[in-house]
Amino acid sequence: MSRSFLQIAVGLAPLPTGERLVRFIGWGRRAHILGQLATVWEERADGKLAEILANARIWAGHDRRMLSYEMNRITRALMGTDIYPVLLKGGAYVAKALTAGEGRRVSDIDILVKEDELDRVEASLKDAGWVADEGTSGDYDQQYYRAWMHELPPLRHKSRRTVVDVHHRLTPRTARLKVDHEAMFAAARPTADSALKVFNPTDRFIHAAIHICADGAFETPERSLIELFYLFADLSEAEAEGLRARAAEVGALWPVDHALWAISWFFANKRARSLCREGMFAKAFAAPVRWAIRAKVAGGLRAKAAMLLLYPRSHLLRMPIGMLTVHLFRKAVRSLSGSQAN
Amino acid sequence: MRRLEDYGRRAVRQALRRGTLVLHLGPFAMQLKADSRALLAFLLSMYGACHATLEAGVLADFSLHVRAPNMIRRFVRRQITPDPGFYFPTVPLPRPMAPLALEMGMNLAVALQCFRFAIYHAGVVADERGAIAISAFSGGGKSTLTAALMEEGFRLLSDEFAIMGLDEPGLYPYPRPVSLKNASVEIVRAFAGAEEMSTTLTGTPKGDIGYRRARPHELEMMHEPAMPKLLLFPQFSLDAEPRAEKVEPGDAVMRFIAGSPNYHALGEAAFGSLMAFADSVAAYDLHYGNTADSIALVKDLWREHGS
Amino acid sequence: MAAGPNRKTWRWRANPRHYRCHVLGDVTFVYNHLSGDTHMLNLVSIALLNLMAERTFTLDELAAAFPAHMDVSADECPPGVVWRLFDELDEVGLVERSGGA
Repeated sequence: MSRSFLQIAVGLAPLPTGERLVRFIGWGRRAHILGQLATVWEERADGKLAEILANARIWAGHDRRMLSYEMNRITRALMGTDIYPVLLKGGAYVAKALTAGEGRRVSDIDILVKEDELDRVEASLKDAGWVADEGTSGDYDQQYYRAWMHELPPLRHKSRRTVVDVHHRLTPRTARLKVDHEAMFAAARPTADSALKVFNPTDRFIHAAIHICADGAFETPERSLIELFYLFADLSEAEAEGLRARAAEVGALWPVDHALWAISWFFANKRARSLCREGMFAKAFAAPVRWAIRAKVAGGLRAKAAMLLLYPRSHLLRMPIGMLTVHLFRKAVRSLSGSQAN
Repeated sequence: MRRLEDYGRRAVRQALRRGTLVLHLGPFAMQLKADSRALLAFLLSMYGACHATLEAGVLADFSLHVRAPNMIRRFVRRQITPDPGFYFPTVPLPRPMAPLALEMGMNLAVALQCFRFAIYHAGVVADERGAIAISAFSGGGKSTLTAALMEEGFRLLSDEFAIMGLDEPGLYPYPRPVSLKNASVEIVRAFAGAEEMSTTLTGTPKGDIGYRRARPHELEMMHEPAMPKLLLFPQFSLDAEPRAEKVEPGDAVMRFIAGSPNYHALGEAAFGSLMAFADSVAAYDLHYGNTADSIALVKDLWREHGS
Repeated sequence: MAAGPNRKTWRWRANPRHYRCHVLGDVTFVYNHLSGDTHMLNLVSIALLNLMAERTFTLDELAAAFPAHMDVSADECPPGVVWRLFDELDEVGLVERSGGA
């Protein structure tokens, strides 16, 4: 059912009626994608449906404004430096007015800077009112992020309460997937009204595929699949032709192949399917993952089993196994001592 | 559309259990799901005149599940909690307090999920001349004054929320029962009549709670907005000399925004309606020590500003 | 937000396309389109915003021009006061640097 709902969500299939419409809207509400549904269907809706979609559009409008303003504030904070970060994910979609950014609910803004700029970026943001977020301000978390992750611990602005994640790589240092973020950085382009840059369309898709298929973002599958679908649809023919070659060049071929498979499967997308066929994809390895992705999207009990498969997997991809157990062990100990303290 | 009381009790109970009961109240359709005798009785008594549908396949703005906080609490020391479909910390209540869980849940759903209107924490009543918004900012007496004005020729728009349009300052009715606490329950029972009141819930986390029903003509007019003329900040204190003090419009606006769960999220359209609202109302602090004094003060102000 | 070391050279302005004003009694409510926030400005702050909407200023020029704009002497309105008012507008994104980053 979810596959057909996904196709309705992006306008590939007609809106259902009656009880099925109610189920569709309930599905969209639980998946936090009513805003995306509104961009496709609001103009053609009437009555209560139009009101529900208008409500979702206005709500998502707030997130969009928040992202734009955070770009404005980051630009202000870095004024006078020669640092030009790359906007990642939702921020880039809004800056470039992409369909993938319309109606999308977001809470944080993500930027990528060069590793040797990290200290200056952190200092500039802290001067401008960002502070270590309460949840990760402890010594262990701070050290963990700095030693092993691909980003600074999240910074929260003290009066606006918004969070910025400052990345210096696209995957953790420890990840098996080694992405050549420097090549992607070099191909990034400036935006019109801020000091921030964005990836080119091909690299934007590649990064979304890495984030979604290899970095644990599959916890919100409907949202992630819609995002991939729109980013892929925005590629010109030439860009789509060159996608897998570029993915191979920056070391991100398998997440891109996963993403292409997902687009072809869930949206019956011919262009993605023909690119998939080119892939020398190791089917034995891929089958369980594909099962898990399908099950996760289908929801219910099978989805829980699927998450067991996908979650440690996304952790595994980020960290060698020895480190993984130490990390999970510390997390567990900390949550135990936390509950005792209460 | 049929009223809730036009359906049989059995049909309502089944729809409530299945989660297909939808209340159509003012601008909102609220889908309810619960398995509670206390809640069913409250719903039939307090929302009988409200438009409702029982069949599946009806779209709703919000859905609310009043349920046990976990499996154990379905059976042992049975508790109940409102689940508006998103995480929100609420105190689980003993099962007989299900009506309170329902009312809290309906308030939460609107306060945190409505973005088609600007929501402010205030009671609203109106007559043919316009609307009076009674802010909860000062903490004292909003609901009692709202219920008292219902006896003085005003219709109830809402006890809990001023529901304001975007780009235009009209206030929209959402006539649910007026929620009264402690001493107010008996004060309102005395002038509204016992038959207009719910059973009083005693010993809730908020003290004793009783509800005053919205009246049939208020439900009939639930799609007719009213233009705001007066904004009141009631400040009840025992033995206070009655007096009304003008509030600077800028201060009034800042206080009003402070009581909004969604103003910050709505952007320019909410700014536009709020500024139009500020231009159209006179704002007053009301100091009084009893309900009769508060009514006399409001009547004086209404003679001056209700035109 | 610290205005930084470029007090002498950076030029600043307010861009009226980015906000909308509404006067209520003694105060002015300003809606910032960029942030979505509503601000309540007193007479002095709104005067500074209006002055900066007319043309661009360095911070030194602003400190020099504002007392005359308010019709008071420079002693009554020293640079430190002007800069503090400026910082408040800068903090909430109502003024911007002119001529790019």
